[in-house]
Amino acid sequence: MPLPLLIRRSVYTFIGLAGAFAGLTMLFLASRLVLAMGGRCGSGGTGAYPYPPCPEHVPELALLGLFGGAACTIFYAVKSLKFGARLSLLPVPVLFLSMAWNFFEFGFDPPGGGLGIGWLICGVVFVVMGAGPLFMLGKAFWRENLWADWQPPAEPTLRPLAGLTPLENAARARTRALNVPDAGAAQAAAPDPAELASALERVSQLHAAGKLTDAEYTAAKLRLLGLAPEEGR
Amino acid sequence: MNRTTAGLKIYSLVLQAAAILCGVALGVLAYRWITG
Repeated sequence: MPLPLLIRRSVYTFIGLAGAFAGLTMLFLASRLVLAMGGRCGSGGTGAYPYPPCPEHVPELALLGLFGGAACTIFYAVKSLKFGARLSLLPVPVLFLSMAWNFFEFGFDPPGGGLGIGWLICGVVFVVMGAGPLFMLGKAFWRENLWADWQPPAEPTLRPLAGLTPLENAARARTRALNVPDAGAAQAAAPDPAELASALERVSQLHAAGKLTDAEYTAAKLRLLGLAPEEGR
Repeated sequence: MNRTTAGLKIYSLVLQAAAILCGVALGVLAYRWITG
C-alpha cells in the first residue's frame, strides 16, 4: 500500500472508530441520566407530562450520540483500512450490551429502592440482542468479518519487451490471413522474364553438368519461379 | 509471515484500540460539555 494512501486510510479509520465510540459513550451516559431519575422524563412541547422533566440537553446528547455514532460507523465501514481488525459490526453489540449493563445496574438498585423487575427484563432482552448474534452467526462468520489479512498489491502486468503477447499474435495472424496483396504490388515484385529465363537456363546447365543434384535443381527452379516458401518469415 | 505483514497487523490493532479509547474519552468530554 502506498504511504499516502496508508496515512489517509489510517486517519479515516481513527475518525470513524473514535466517532462511533464517542457516540456510544454519549448514549450510554445519557441513558444513565434518564434511568437515574426513574427511567422516564418529559419536557418541551405543550403537553403536561406525568413524569419529571428531562435533564437539560439529554435529548440532544442522545440524538447526537445515536446519529453521529451511526454516521461515523458507516464512514468507518467504507473508508477504513482494508486490512487488520474490521470492527464495523462491533458498535451494535457494544450498544446493546452497554444498555443492558445500565438496565442491570439500575434494576438491582433503582432510584426508588427495591428491585426494578421491568429493568432487569429489559437487561436480559438487551443481552440477548447484543450477544445473540455473536453466537448465532458462528465462528466462520466472525473470522471472515472481523479480520482481513493484508494483501500485497498485485504485480503489474508487464508487456514482453521482445515478441508479442498471445492476443497480439492472434490479432496479427488474423490480419495477415485477410491481407491479400494487390495486383500492382505483385507485379512490381515479379522478376524480369528475360532475367528469369537466363537464370533458369544457368541452373539447368549446372544440373546437366552434374554440379547440382536433382533435389538442388528442383529447389532452385522453384525458388526462381517464386513457388518455394520464403525463408525467415 | 514477513515483517511488513506482521507490522501492519500490529499497527492496525494499535491504531484501532487507540481510536476506541480516544472515542470514549471524547464521548465523556462531549457529555460533560453538553450537560454542563
